Amino acid sequence: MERDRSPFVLACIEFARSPMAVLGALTLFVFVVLALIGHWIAPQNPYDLRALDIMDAQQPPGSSSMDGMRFLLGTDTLGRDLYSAILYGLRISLTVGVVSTAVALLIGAMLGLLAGWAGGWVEALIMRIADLQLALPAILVALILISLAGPGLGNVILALILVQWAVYARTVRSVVLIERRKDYVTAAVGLGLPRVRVVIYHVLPNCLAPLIVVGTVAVGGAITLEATLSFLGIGLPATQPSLGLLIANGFGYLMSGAYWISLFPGFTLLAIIVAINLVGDRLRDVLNPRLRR
Amino acid sequence: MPCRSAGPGPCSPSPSEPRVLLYVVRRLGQSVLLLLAMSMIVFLAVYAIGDPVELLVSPQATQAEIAATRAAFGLDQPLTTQYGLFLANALHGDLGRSFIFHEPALALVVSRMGATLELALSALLIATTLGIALGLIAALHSDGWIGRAIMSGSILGLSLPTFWVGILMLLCFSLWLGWFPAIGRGRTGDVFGIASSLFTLDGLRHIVLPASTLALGNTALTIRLTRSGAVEVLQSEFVKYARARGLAPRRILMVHVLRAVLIPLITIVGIEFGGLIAFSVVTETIFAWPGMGKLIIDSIYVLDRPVIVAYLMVIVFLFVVINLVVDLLYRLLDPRIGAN
Repeated sequence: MERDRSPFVLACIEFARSPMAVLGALTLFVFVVLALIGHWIAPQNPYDLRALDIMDAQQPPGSSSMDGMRFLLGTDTLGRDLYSAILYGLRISLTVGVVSTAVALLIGAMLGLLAGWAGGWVEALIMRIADLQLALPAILVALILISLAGPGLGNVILALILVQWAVYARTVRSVVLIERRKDYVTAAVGLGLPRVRVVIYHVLPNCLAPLIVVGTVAVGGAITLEATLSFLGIGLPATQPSLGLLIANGFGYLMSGAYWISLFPGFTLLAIIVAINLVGDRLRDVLNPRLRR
Repeated sequence: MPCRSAGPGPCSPSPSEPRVLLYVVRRLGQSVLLLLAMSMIVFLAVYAIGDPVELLVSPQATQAEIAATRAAFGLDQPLTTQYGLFLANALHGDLGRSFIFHEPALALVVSRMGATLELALSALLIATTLGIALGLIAALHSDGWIGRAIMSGSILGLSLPTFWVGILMLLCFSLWLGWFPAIGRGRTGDVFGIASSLFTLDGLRHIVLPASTLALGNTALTIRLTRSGAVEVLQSEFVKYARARGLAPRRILMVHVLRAVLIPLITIVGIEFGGLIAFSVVTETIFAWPGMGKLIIDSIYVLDRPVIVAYLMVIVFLFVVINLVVDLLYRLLDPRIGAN
């Protein structure tokens, strides 16, 4: 019955052979669900000032509030329940990471297709710009953009797109260069199909596997970079408290012993990134048999 | 181009002097172009966002006073003239004065460069020595638990966010164990007129935590590159021959394997050095290290534009120089690169 199964099912079975990757996928699933339903299951709305009581400030994990609420992970300096704040921050961090990666993937893939298919000066221009971008480390590109355009949600997402698109463009172009010489493409073009149709329906699907692999790991990178920028105070504004911002808020209180304000958001961030990398690593093995060792 | 074949042959003569010179000149030209492009981007971005006059005059100024200020600073000239002036001043080392420190911006950035460079260099040293040593060990014991442990550790090292590692290091080794001081650069010592924390015991104690934090990602990368290179070389004919000839395993590893592994590593190390300088922004913020990185973050907070411009130009300049040096060094070490 083996051959009746679709490639997708086969890939899933292959994926499940690695217990670590399955653990990563499960962790990721839990975090995504928490991010989606976080606003309903959080014990309090951490950004509703009426819900906060300054008397509850800097309570250690497990303590109770003045009106009997449990602070599972403690509170920050404003008396905010950290567990609730992390649930809210999770949604922001994941959204920024996924949205920026998706947009960058779309733009990068389009430019890669264009470069690989058109060739000539178009290809040279796109790939030289991609080279230039890849020669600079991501943090520097983000720093240049933010220091010129200023912090804020829009600029952070723009920065994350800017540091990512070149990787996708390169990936897609390399696949297109291989595919366009193959017989089925020649046949399709020879049949008189419109070029755009050949590229979108026949060449692009071949790019999906490497794009999924690169994109998965890139989401982790994007979340890390956003957290780094927010930690530095040049990322998201205080009204969009991502995990990085929560860590930054607690950083000043490490010295005074309130370690939990930074540590718990930090461990959440860490768990997400490690989970994404475990999944990404396994996907690389499953989707690209040539790389399997 | 008459010949595109790589490797020795009648078609590709040994790299002759004019060819290398041509290459150097071409690379220099590219570098200058890149710097020019960067200066244009910075100039346009800074002058497209907000009117500098608003920062220079008091809110109660009359139209005539605003116009006078505009004329005094040449802001009424066309954009191309302004850019020419900016470029001419930049070439004289004048990138404006800091709004906050009231010092020339470029001098300010350069004065902080030493602290950043010593941090990046220390991190590079740690990453390279530790990375190569652990990578070789992992290659020798690639099936044993040591090798696996090192490789798993390196994956973790690559995925950990730098700022998070820094916070944990600060918490563990400084606040809880009290082994190292938490913030600042400590006392600097003077050797040949260069002030550095590396020359005093107090300074060295201060640099351990930030440098290790900064080095972590690169150590992991160096481990992986060294291991994959060494595993390949260990299976090659010349290593088998060296073994058969009865050379001591230690000598084979330290002389023959290491040499083959080092060449690709140099490029990576060079490129990574630029990354370290950029990434020191994070480490410097955590450990309050008084370098360029902390300066740019502080300047972004207070919108100190001349300092931002100076920092960006300096760091791009550093990058261009590093890339150039690495490229030339690589050609020198591996003559095969020059064949094409």
